[in-house]
Amino acid sequence: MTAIVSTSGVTALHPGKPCLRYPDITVQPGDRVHLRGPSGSGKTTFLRLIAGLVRPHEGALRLSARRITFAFQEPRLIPGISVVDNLHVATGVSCNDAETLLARVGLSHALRQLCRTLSGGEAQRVNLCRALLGKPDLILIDEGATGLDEEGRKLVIDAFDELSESFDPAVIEVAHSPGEPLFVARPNHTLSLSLA
Amino acid sequence: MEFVLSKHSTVSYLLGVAICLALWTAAAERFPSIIVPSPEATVLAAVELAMDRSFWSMTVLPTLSRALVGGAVAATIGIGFGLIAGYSRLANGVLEPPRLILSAVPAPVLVILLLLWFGTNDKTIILSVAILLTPLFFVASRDGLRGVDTKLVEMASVYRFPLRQRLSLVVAPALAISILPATRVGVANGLRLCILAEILVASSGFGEEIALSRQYLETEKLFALVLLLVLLIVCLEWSLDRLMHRNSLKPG
Repeated sequence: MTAIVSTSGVTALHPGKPCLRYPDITVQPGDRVHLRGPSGSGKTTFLRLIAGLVRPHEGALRLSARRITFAFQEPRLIPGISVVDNLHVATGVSCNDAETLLARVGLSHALRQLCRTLSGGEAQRVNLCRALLGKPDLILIDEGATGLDEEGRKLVIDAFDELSESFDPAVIEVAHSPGEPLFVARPNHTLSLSLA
Repeated sequence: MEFVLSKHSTVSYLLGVAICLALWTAAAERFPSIIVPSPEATVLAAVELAMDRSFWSMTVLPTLSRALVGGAVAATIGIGFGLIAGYSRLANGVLEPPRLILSAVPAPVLVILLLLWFGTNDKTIILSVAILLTPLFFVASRDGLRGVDTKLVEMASVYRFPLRQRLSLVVAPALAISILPATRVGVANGLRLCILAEILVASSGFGEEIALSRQYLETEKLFALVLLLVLLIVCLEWSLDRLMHRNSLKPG
């Protein structure tokens, strides 16, 4: 089976910090990876490396994922367009599919609302929905539970479980240390990073 | 609460107008009408001017069209080079000295220079407006581009937004935040510069009317012209305000 992501001797430069050195990892389709470590250990940078937002300083990063989505730590929604349009523009899915998922996570009241008017918890749910749509091969999640209450958390997890039955994406998730990951309940790999 | 605040702001606005009127009336009573005409006489003169069709075709229209053409040239050049400077530090380094020079040159000096080079014609007036307004649009677009939310740029890159959507949904709103207020300032400044150039070039328009009023000591007409000019600028700024407000509510 072709690995979705494999890394070998990858290091990354981070402004004002020593060079971050990452353990090697191979992620197969459908794998669940929990990335943990103290603040400043480079968890977010690792996700950014995989997403192509940062170049490795050394080592090799091989990526065969056709489609990657990223639930960023902060929602990063386009403020001037509606919730449905944000999902449609980013993932290319039809407005109906976007509306169905949004209704499933309890946002049926906010479909046409401009994203700048959403509460923190609502925006985070939209952020997670965006990462789930469009049948990605690889989902990157950076502290996805941030801002979610218990009910919101449950709705999002249920939606993910239901969606991932039809396509089985690999998920790499960073969770609050020592918090629990949102989607990666039973990880195949746990990658522990430490401060350099 | 919003109603109370809005009412409060209207009251303070009217208070400001009342204070200006009171000071003007007091000055008009203290000095002869040839120095400071009364508000009533000024309003009457302004109404008389506004009722005259040739005032609009021979005075307002030439000034407005020159200011508009000059402003459009300034916006095109200023925004074009501003975007280049916002994108490239090297280009910004090259463009900053001319920007500083243009910003520092006093307007009358530039008009006189252009008058020497191009003579007394519309070209001199339009170029004066264009050259003096270009730095305003340059800075606004450069800073607007630098103010684009890099987090949204990253998001658009991960989700592979097409170029058109990156520009319209991520870059354009950030540019609008700085370019629209600059346009608002540019409208008032453009008209003022245009009139200054018209006075110095002795061309038709508001500038010529003002110069003639001064020459023949028609202080009432001079005040009336200023009053009409103020009203014109207020109307233009109000229209731009509405446009900016509508734009801030529009998707994207």
